[in-house]
Formats: sequence, structure tokens, C-alpha cells
Amino acid sequence: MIELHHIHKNHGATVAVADVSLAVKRGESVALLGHSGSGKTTLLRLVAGLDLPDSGTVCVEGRIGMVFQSLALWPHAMVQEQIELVLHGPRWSGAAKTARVAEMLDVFGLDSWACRKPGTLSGGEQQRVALARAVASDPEILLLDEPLAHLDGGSRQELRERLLPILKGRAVLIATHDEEDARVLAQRCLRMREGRIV
Amino acid sequence: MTQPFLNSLLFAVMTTVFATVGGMAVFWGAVSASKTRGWGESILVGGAVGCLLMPPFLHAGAWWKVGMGLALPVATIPFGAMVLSLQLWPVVFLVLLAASRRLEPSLLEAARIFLPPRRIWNRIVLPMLLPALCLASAVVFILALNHFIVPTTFQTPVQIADVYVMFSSLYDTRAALLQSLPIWLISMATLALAARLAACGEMGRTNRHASLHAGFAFRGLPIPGGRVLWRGLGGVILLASLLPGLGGLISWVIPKHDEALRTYMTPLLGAVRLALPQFGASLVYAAGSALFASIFGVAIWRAMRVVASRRGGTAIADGKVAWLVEWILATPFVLSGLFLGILLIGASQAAGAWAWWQGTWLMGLAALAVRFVWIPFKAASVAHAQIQSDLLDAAKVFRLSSAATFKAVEWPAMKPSLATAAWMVYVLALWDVETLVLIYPAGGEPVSLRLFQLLHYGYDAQVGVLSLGLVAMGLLPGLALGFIRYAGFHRPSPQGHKMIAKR
Repeated sequence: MIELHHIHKNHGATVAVADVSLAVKRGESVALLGHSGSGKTTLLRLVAGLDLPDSGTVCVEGRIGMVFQSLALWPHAMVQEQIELVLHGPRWSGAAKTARVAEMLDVFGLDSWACRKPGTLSGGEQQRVALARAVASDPEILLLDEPLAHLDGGSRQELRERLLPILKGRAVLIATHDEEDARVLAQRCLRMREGRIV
Repeated sequence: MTQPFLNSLLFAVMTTVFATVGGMAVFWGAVSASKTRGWGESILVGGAVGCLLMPPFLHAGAWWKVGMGLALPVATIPFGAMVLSLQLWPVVFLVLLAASRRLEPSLLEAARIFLPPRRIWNRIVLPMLLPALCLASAVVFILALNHFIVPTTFQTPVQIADVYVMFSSLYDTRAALLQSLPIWLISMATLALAARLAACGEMGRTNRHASLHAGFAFRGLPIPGGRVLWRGLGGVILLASLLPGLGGLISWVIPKHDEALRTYMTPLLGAVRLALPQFGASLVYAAGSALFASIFGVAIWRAMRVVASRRGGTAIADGKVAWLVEWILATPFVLSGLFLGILLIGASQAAGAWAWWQGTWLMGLAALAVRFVWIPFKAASVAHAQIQSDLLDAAKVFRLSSAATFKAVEWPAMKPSLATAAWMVYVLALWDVETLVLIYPAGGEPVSLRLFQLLHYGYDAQVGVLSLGLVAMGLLPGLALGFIRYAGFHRPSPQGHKMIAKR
């Protein structure tokens, strides 16, 4: 599903990713562990096609869902619209779309905030909306950039449990600096330092 | 409804439509130039500011000549609206650009991942920029409805021109104000609506650090119609807005051949020599109004902050009172300066004790300061909003007094914006015709008024040389400020020497 071959990416004079090769199969969750600036987010952006590598090849097969580090919730859209907007194409017409929105609101415990805009939600609530939006269209590939960063201990544990069944059957790449998140959510952990997998 | 009033409405609506379409086209041009690392956008921004700062009588006069040369129907509402829109599209462009620079790039990246290209523009970009677009269009509408010079130059009988003719012949303040009431009401209502839109709009301002250029947020997004089309269109609109004015200026001043040079030079130099008192008057009005408007604008803003902090809340600084104060300050700026002149004359006639100041320099200075006070006020509040909240929080933690916070944190951050605002007031006062046309004192006629009158009589060479002088006067403070800053940056500091010596 995801195959990276000898990827290099520089940001100006700084080496962001250096000679990274990686494969993630369907049904596999891989965590990228590392400190800030180690290249995790850049790698996710390369997989998502938001940035192009300076050299190497990126092969991605399937639709992508992503949780951004900044969450990137559209400020003018209500919670249910955030989910609705990503449901397009023949599969999500009419009743199927409505049912899927209701399902996502229910799964992520967002029913009572369906008609609120992101600016009126707490950090944890916004995190749930971002996760719901990422998985709503049932993507084959899921890219999660610090997916539980805005949550406290209790909420973090609860959301991990909600996430586990959702990750099954997809190729998942998780960027995190939290070892516990990586251990629970991923089957394989890779450590990154100065743009390299070590 | 009278014909001039209908003409005013039609003129304002057409100008708004043209300027909105033009501003959006140049905006897409700037966005399409994302691969140029911002310099393409910088050129468009520089050109847009140039359009806004070009004297309106110069712009209108140049287009009158172009239209006559091409045998176009110049004395019509559509042509006048087209000419004014070529000066006002930068309002739409700059407001859209400011809004898009504050867009968090990841919002559009998320859209790229989740949505097809068509839906990105319809469902994500447009809703986020719509409040800014409505606000800018409303401002253009009000400015066009209250514009005096362009419709007058193109002989369009609009309400403002009617009010001017009626008041200058009868001096009946009450009748003039009654006649202009519809324009006032429509302008104030539109301004209130625009201010509400700006306050309520969700512009995606989640990003505290604005991007260096708008194209940064839009990079990688497919542009409908193609990037080349929008870049070309943006360039064409920019050139159409700047070239006639600048070209006219040069062609009026530079004679065609040697023989003409000899015959032209004497009248040109004569025009400058004869207009020296007018240049002096312009300098007094421009510098004085920049000084007074800046002092009053910052003082009003500061008073609001102090009262808000003493009450321990933000209700006054950020709430309904702030909105009301801003609305009151913005009103004289967007309404025609003619109304301000009529009001001041009416007020000084009504209050006997104040009759002495009618026809004095002070009245002109006061009128200009009142008209432009909103610019420094707005600059102060916008600059303050951009100060990192951590810095202000630190001042609170360390219990700095209000004055110390202003001196240590607020003033250094706001200084450049306030200097720019003062310069804008200086330039606008230099070009001003309509505020002073009714109230300038005997012997206190500024260059702009003389130019406005000369344009009617076809003294092209004199118009050109006086305009050039006025443009030079406008640029002077900016150049001086730039020179001082340049000299300041390149002066080696004693501290720097010490550090090098230690190494």
C-alpha cells in the first residue's frame, strides 16, 4: 500500500529526510517515533503527496485519510459538515452519506457537538473531529500526525480504544513522540533521528 | 427618486462590480504566481498600492484623454465607473490578500487530500474568503457612492455634484444636508453591515503566524482556468490602472521635440514658480493633518485600552463599544469630504462663538484630521492585535504598569505601522480636493485644488508639472524614512565591536 524507496528531502540547507526506505502493507500499523524535527511530519507529507521528494520514489496505492498535527479543521464548517464534505463520489450519495455521518458522530462521541464550529470546541473535542474526518470516507491508507497530542490521560486512553478497531484492515502510518501511543496503536515501531530511520 | 440620485446608485453599483471582478482577477494572479517565491505577488501589491495612492484627478484626467483619443463615449456612467474601478480594485485585492495570508496552509492541504479540485474552491476557499470579499466590496460601494472627482471629471450628474453646486451657490446647509441624506443613509447602513461582516466572519484565522505570501497557502492547488491566464489578466489590469496616469504625467511634462522644449520650459517653470504658495499650503495641510490624525487616533485607541484594562475585561476594547467607536471614526473617511465641509460651515454659522474659525487654516486642518483619524486608529488596533500574546502576558505577570507596557512592549511593535499610517494620511491629504474645496482660507489654496481647476481648462503642461511636484512631495517622507532606517541599520554599534573583539 505504501512503499518508499531511498527518499531524500531537504528544507533549504536542512536535511529533513535522508535515505528513508519503508513499506507498509494493508492491515499493518507502523509508528514513527522521534523528537521534534526528526523528520516524521515531513515523511507523512511526502506520503500524502503534499510535498515532493528531492530524490527517491513514493508509491501509494489507495485513498488517503489524514490527521494533521495542527488538526486543520475548516473554521467555517460545523462538525457534521467537516465529515460530510469528505464524503463524495458515487459511494456516498444520499442516505449512505447521512448514515455515515451519523455513524462517525456516534463512534467518536460527537453527537452533541454536531452543529458546532471548531472554534467553539476544546482541544480534545477538535482532535476527535479530526479523527472522524480522517476515517469517514473509509480510506485504505491512514496517516496520523500526533493523533492524540491534544488529549489528557483519561481521554487519550479512551480514544486509543476507539481507534484500535478503526485502524484494522488499513495501512496506517503514525507519527508520534509518545512511546505509549506507539506501543498500543502500532504493530511496528521505527525510530527517526535527523531524518533517518535508526 | 431624482435622476442624479439614480445615477449615483448606478455609478456605485457598476464601480463595485467592476472593482470586485478586477480585484479578484488580480488576486488569482497573485495566487497563481506562487512559484515565484513571492516576488510576483510583491510586484502586484506594489502596483496596487501605487494605484490607490495615485491622485484621482491625475488618473481621471489621463483616462479622459485616452477615451477622447480613442473616440470612446467618455461622458457616460459605464466609462466613469470603469475608470474609478481601475483605481479601487486594489481595495478588494489587498483585503483578499490579507485574508488569505492568514489562512492556515494545512486547511487547504487537508482540502487537497479529502476533496476534488472543484469542491475545494466552492466549499473551502470561497466560504473562508467570502466575509473579506463582502467587506471589501461594501467599502468600494461606499467610496464610489461618495466619490466627487471622477464623476465630475466625466460629466456624470451625480448626487454629490448636485449637492456641491447647490451649496456653493446658496450656502444653505440645511437644504444641502437634506439633499445628501439618502447617500448618508445608504453609506452608513452599508458601513454598519460591512463592519458586522468583518466582525462575524470566519476567515480561518487559526494561524498566528501569517504566511510570507498568499501563494504559499495555495501552493499545489489546481487553479481553475490555469495559472497563466490569471497571471496575464492580473498584469493587464495592473498596467491599465497605472500606465495612463504615469504615461500622462510623463507625456505632459516632457515636450515632443527641441523646439517645443524652448516654448514649453518657460510656462512650466512659470507654473512651478507661481504655485510655490500652493505647494507651501499643501505641505501645511498634509503634514499637519498627518500629525493631528496620528495623535488623536492613537490617543483614542489608547484611552479605550486603558479603560478596558481598568475594568478588568475586554468589553470596551473588543466588544460593542469598540465597534461603535470604529464606526464613528470610519464614517468621515468613507463619506465624501464635501459633507464634512458643509457640516463645519453649518456648525460655525449656527454657533456664533465659533464663527471666527470659518475660513481659517485651522478649520481645514481640523477637517482633514477628522476625515483621516480612522487610519492611525485602525493601524494601532491591528498592530496591537498582532503582538504575541505571550509578550503581553509576561508584562502582566511581572506587573508592568500600563505606561511601562506601552513603552516596552506595545510601542516598539506598533511603531512601523503607525509611521506607515501617518504617511498614508499625509499622501491622502496632499491629494485631497473635496474636503478643502468649500473651506480653504483665502491665500491657502493647496496644489490639488489648483490642479483640479486647471484640468477643466486643458492646461496639460501645467497639470503635468504640478502633479509631478505633488507626487515628489508625497514620496519625500517615505524616502527620508527609508534613508534614516538604512543609515541606522548600517551604522556599526559599539556593542557589536565589543563582541567581535571578545571573540
